[in-house]
Amino acid sequence: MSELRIPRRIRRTVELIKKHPRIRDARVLGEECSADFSLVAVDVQVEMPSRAIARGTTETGVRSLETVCFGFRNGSRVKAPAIALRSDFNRCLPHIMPGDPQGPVVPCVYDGDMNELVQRGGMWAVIDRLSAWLDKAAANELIDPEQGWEPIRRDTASDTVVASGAVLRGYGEQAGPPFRQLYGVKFLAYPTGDNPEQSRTAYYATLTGPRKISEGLSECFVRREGLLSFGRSIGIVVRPDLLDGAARLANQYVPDTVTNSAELQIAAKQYGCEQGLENAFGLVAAWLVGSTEYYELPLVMVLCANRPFPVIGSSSRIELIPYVTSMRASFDKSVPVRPAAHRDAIDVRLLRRLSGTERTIQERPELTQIGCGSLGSKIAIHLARAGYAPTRVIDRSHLTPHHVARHALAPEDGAEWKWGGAKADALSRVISALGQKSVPITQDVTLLVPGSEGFSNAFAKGSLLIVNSTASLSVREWLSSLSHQELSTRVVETSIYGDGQVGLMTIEGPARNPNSADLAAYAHLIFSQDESLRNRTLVEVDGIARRLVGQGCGSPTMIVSDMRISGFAAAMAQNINLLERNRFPDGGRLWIGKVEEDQVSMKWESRALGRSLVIAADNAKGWTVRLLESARVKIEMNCAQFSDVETGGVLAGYTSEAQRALIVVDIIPAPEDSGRSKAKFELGTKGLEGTLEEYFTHSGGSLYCIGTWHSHLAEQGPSETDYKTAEIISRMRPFPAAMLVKTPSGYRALVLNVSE
Amino acid sequence: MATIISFFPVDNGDMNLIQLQDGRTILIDVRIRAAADDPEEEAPDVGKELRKRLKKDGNGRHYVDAFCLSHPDEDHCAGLETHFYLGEPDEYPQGSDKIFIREIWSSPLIFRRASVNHTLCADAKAFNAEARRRVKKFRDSRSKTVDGDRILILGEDIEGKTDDLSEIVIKLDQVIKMIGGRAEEWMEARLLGPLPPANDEAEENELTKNDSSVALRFLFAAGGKPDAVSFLTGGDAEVGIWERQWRRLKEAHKDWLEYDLLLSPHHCSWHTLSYDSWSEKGEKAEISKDARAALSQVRSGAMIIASSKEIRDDDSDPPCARARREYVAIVKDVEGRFICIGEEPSAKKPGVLEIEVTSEGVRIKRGVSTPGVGGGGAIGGQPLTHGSGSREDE
Repeated sequence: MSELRIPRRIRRTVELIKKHPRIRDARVLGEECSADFSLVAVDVQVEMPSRAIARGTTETGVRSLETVCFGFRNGSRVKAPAIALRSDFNRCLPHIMPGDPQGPVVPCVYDGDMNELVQRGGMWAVIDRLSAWLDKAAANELIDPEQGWEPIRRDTASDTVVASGAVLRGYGEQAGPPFRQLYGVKFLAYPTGDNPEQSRTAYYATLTGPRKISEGLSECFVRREGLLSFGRSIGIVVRPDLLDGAARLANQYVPDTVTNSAELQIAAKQYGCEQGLENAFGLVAAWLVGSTEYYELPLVMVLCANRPFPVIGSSSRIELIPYVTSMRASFDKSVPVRPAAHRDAIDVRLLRRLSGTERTIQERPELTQIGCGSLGSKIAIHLARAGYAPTRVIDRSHLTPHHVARHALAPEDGAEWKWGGAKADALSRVISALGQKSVPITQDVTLLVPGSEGFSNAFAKGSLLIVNSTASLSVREWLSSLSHQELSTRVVETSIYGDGQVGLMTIEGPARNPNSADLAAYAHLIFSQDESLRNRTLVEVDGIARRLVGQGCGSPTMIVSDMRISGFAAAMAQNINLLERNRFPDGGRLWIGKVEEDQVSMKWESRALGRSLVIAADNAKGWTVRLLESARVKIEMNCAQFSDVETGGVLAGYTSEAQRALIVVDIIPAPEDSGRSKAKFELGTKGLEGTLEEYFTHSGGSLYCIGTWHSHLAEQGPSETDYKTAEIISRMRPFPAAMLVKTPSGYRALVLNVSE
Repeated sequence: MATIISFFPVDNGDMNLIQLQDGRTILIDVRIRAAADDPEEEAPDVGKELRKRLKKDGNGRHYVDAFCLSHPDEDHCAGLETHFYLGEPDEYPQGSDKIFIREIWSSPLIFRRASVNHTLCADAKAFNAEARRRVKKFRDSRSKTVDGDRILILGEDIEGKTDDLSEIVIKLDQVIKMIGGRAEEWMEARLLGPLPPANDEAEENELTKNDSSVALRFLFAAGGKPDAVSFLTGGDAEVGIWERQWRRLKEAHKDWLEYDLLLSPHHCSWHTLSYDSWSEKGEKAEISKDARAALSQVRSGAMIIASSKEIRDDDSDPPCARARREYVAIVKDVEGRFICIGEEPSAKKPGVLEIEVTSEGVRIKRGVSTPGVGGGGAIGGQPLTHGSGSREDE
């Protein structure tokens, strides 16, 4: 055997290991090597606590020089060596892999993938970790109370038990009778193992709700599908025994070597769960006497050990120790038992923990998502994955094949026929699988009557936010037309423009002022004033067009990729989640996202918009002029400039029939031939027609002239002259128009051509 | 994290930081010389090393829970004014990076007037002023003082000067169990010095600064043992003090001198162990049996630290080669070790020595110090000649 050729690479590695300052010696164990494996003995110098130096060994049994065996795969340049300590190394220390008590002692020196560590830091990184591990073992510092109790390693377990850790730990924290709780279990069984000839069954078992044993057994079944099988079974959670009225403490770290029911009973004693386990086995055995029909089913056991301080990564002292065994009428003899890994069930806690979106308040804020199309579904799923799924999802349309191109959901192979249901229903089901409830609503929201049951179902009182992702003007106008009394929740609106080059997100101000329509109009003003934005949003009128999606079927939608929509959806969902977790802005706010020239980068900018003044018309009941902050500032500046004469100009904005309002977004300055005097303001004409036309074109027709404004030096509303001029305007143009008067203390308005 | 005691490389001087398991910190002495603050100089940047180990409070200030000044000599207080905030706590300037001292531990020497025997450097004067400010604050208010105003006086002063301060005075042999007014579970410290003047010194009525040094014997808890590690530190106290310590404690309280870790007094000075001059008498210099006994109460594996420059085999003192020989002999029987900070890890480039408290005594804390593939090795570590090999003058 000594003739065996040790690969040069391994010899080189041995020389490198020798040079590490913590290594005394390293040598190839020629006798032990094979064609596939090379074994190397490495002598590691342990940093001994002072009082252990003379003894040569610490209280934990660690020696000043530890010989550690490194096993290299000759054929692989990417695999880390397997590391084993001497077989009489203290197995009662934490951070040791569970395994055969006669086998090698494998320390867990790195909390991650060793192969990755070697690639990143080289062999010295492994030695660093190993020597740090041995130093800690020497001083009994492998468990750090500050950090928490190190749970038993189950990295290599092939069976998995899925359950809400918080729920089980909560149960475990209440020690005492009845010592155990039965649960329903849904399981998937699959073959496992590197070698197909030696494969065995592994279970992926999910605990469902608590059951009585009779209920649990009546649900049991198993069904095969090719190599897989699935079914239902039962699981039992065992909580700590009592000692002097308190939960028995399991403060000793013991190696986890359970392979059968007899050993499990011994282990349960060490975990302080002896009575509960006995009770659990007794319960199952009693029900199964004389029957072997359940013998094929897995039986899940979760022991709750009460540790002296909180387990790492949790605030509870309960450590969950799961096993999988089989249903038997007797557990006296050696029924095989395998340690299983615990995985947290999908729930809000898990999702928030992994997303880093924890919030002091555990509840999910009420949020209504209107529009479950490509953008809305993505926002909803992003929020759901972060543990903040919308509590209501609204969409009246159904999924059809063309939605597959961009919707967050995708049909499952073999179940394509299920595609085609209501979008809201489909989205709600997926959110439910993400451990959150979301009520689907498939009605047309704009038909809901405020105060009706349907309305309150869709918009619960006290909701945090409403997100409108419908890209529908009618939904925006309808929402904006609802008074603060009818709908008090602030609305967020998300939309994507022209071929997915620009995204817009807005949030209404306090008391819903400015509202979504105000904000959209303000955004359009910003777009129209910036050439690059303008050309990518408002002007390119065929951005949204009716696209053929089947014979005789079309859909008004834009051509844009899923990638592009996701880019915007991710930012918007992030923004919504930040709003949910932090304070809302003091006023209205909008965010404009722009895809840059390279078609990869994206840039977001944010703008604030203050309250809109709502001015009731003197002459038309129910109609108002909404004067946006952007326009009001310009009027007031102009008045300050011409403080001793009457001044004025042209109002730009749009008319909303839904809100019965003229929305004034901007002011177009008076032409130079206008006349200003103490008694009157005369709007000139020079170049005005051209200016108005340009205004209309630049905004893609979304903003236009909607009337005039002028100032009065005295506290006086529309004068006789004003009424006369108004009549001329309404004769000349058939559309609604406003005449706004700025008085020293406020505003008055006439609204024309709106008689109903 | 385990309790860590860090010794900073400050040549002949003291500066060590105790980071307790619960995160609280005690700094004993400070020596941050101008050279250490100058990136051009070779002296290690101990100001930066110190800040790296300190936490920041809610106001973004680095802070120590307690600062103990053993005695007001330059090699124990240099850099105090530059690096520490001294003054009213609520007047801490915004944006300052000065270290905030929650509680001061001071010897009663601050009440002494300056005299020929008692001259003070600028940092020592600043310390005195700050300590007196805190004492005044206590006298004025009597109420609960706050962090930044707290002070403990380690030892009673002569002539009853500290009699009205009993709440903030720790008497000789008493044990400190609180830091900043709160109980501390990972540490206790017995006050073993300064000793009051002996009878024959009564005429002078005062000790030298060195002999007024604060001596503390710390016990640190670990792994469920309240006395897992014992650390003895005594500033610059000289042979006479250690003789008196031995004589007063040898019968009933020898264990108060027992240690796993000793900071050898006065930077490994020969005068800690002998009245004779090393440079004059050389090997003929006589050692004081009692002083040596006081400093030999070793636990198994004990570690003795010299906070000094590299110890050369010559007649300089401190640090003194013969003192080192004595300390090496003291720890030899218990398989302990002697470490000079100025030589660790090398005399050319000394670094901060971190000692870890374990349930079985102390050990050097070894971080992941090896650069591995990331380091340059010789590249950057030494000049490397490259070229064709032809000589320059050809």
